[in-house]
Amino acid sequence: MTGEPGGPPPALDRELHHPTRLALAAYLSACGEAEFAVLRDYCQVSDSTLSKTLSALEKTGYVSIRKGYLGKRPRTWAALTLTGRRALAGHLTALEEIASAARRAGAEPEGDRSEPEED
Amino acid sequence: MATTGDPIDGRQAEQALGAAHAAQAAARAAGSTRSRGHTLGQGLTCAVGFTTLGLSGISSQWSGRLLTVGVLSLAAFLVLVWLGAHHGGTTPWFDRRREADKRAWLLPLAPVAVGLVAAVPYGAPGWLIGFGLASGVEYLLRATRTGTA
Repeated sequence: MTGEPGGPPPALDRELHHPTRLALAAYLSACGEAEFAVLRDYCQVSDSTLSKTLSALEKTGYVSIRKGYLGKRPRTWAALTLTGRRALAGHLTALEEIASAARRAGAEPEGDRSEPEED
Repeated sequence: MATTGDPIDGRQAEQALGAAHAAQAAARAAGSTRSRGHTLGQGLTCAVGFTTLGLSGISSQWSGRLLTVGVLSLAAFLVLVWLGAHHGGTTPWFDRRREADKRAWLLPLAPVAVGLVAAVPYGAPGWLIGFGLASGVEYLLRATRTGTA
């Protein structure tokens, strides 16, 4: 993990580390709630995988699940909780820090990064 | 929060950020698309509902009928709002950081202001009529501006 030099490394959230979980949480963060089928189609996963992922995120308190009907058809809706929104914000901040640290390291000339020689 | 002990390099972080931002953009796009007819329907039912409620307080002869029309129109308006919010399987979320969403918060306050101005000389019926008509115009503007709400 790459962090600020000398400082603690940015804290990535283990519950949001997997690409599917991150995509799911990010999608839900930009909407009030989303239907199961919409999430499944966006993440391109099976019903079973999405169901397990949502259950895992619900267990951690990041996602709330609501079951209801649209007309006579049963529907499942998922929403990101406040805890989940905070966790996602923290995770994205940590990713930003890692990415910007890597960019800075890449932009620095070789001479700047070498230890100064002592005579 | 359980932190991951897995190392992650800058490239992976960039990829993860890109995927997250793409997902947020997709959700915003899905939550903001509404048909022009739907927006116009909302405006019409809102305008008719509030205006007839206001008129029912003025006209004693037609009071009952106007009240019925007003209540039915507002019920239809609420149904349209609910259907619009769940259209496409994604409900919109207001992000106050974005300029477009600031408009989405501020624009609906204009009918409230118009209603308050009308309430000064005409009281509650004036507020209802002013608010209803201004809301109708606001929905009409939304529909004509982009075709979406």
